[in-house]
Amino acid sequence: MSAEDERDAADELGRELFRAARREAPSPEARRRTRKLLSVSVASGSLLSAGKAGAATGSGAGLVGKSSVAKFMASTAGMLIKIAGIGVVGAVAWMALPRAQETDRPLELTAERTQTRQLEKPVASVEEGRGQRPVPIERGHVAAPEPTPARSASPARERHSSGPGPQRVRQIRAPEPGSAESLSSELGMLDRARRELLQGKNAQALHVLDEYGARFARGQLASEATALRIEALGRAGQQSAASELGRRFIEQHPNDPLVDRIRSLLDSARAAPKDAQ
Amino acid sequence: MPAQESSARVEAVFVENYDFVWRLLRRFGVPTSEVDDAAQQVFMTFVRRITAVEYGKERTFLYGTALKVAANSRRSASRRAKSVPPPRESTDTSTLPDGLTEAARLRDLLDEILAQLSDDLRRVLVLAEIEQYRVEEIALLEGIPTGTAASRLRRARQQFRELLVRYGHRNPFGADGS
Repeated sequence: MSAEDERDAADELGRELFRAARREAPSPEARRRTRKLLSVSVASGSLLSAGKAGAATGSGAGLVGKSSVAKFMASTAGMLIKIAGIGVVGAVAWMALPRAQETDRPLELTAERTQTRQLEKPVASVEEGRGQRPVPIERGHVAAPEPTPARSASPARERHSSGPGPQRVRQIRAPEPGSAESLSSELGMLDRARRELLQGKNAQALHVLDEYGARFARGQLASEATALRIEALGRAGQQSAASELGRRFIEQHPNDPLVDRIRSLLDSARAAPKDAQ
Repeated sequence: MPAQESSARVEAVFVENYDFVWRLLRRFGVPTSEVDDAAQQVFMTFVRRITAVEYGKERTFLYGTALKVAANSRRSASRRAKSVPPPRESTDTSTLPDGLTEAARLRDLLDEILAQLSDDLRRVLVLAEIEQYRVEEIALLEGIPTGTAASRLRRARQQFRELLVRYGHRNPFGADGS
């Protein structure tokens, strides 16, 4: 083959390579999952902004006497009630989405929706918040076969509870399952776990997932948490634990949209050396 | 920002850019098994910072975020590779129909060649040849003068072609002309 022929062949190959890359697209399931999480996140974003507004108010309250404190308390309570309202509507809107139709539907929340069914959601007492007992991982439907040793959610809670006012307020409320606050917290924790995982901090990711399991017995994102746990276990070298967790998940939830992803994670785990660590 | 406006904006940005971000991550070296999560992370970052992102600059923001996420992912994969041998990253084509098998092989080859380009050349080449951006648009996304983008693209194409010649023996359309 002459040099010119070689160059022509190379150009042709280049065109084919780029064409193949252009044709590649994410799976509908990945698209649906991301859209769902964004939808939840937009809902909880409203909530978090409101929480920050409360924080700003709270930081000044301690400096200016009792009446201001009382006003702050009142405004915080009002804020929490509004937040709870947003939460309920957001969660209802999100949960009402039929999974099969999510792909082509726009994100659901609108200002009207978030404001129509507000108020009257009770704020849990400190005792109720403390009364929450750690429960098995991820909705309890698939317990972690090898829980990471001796980790407790309590240090994190203690850190939060000694923090600035609004954060403390958020901690002592027991998020209602399905509320936007619960979803927001769930999302935040899974986001943290995912970031740790992407940075190669597998142990920290597992720690966050332990916290998640302890806080959200029947979490709305339990399947996502399980998938992350399988991935974290696999990367931490605990292939057999990852495989066992994945196998049980698929067995118990054969129609879950995450099954394909979990199979793919298990394939990756199988390709790595067993229990390397 | 009102919830309705936020929601509409996120929806529009998602619809318009999800595939773009996903493909970028794939071509910028995020392992196949991680690309869905990485894309999710990019959009979650956008949602978290939505009020700081200027209207009309969403794609630039997503592009910059995708580059950072991809870099983190590559570093993480590299750390893992040092502790345990990495699983075979190239696509398992054993269960794919023939057409898909061929496409998967082509993409594996493309990734292998792209990995040999410097980051700045790889970026402009991907934007031009896969996303089919004009030089002016590439310059905007990269935050560089148009002339610089044009010269980078020239160099990228030249180096890519040289690499292709070297990889010619792996051409699936090979010497037999099939």
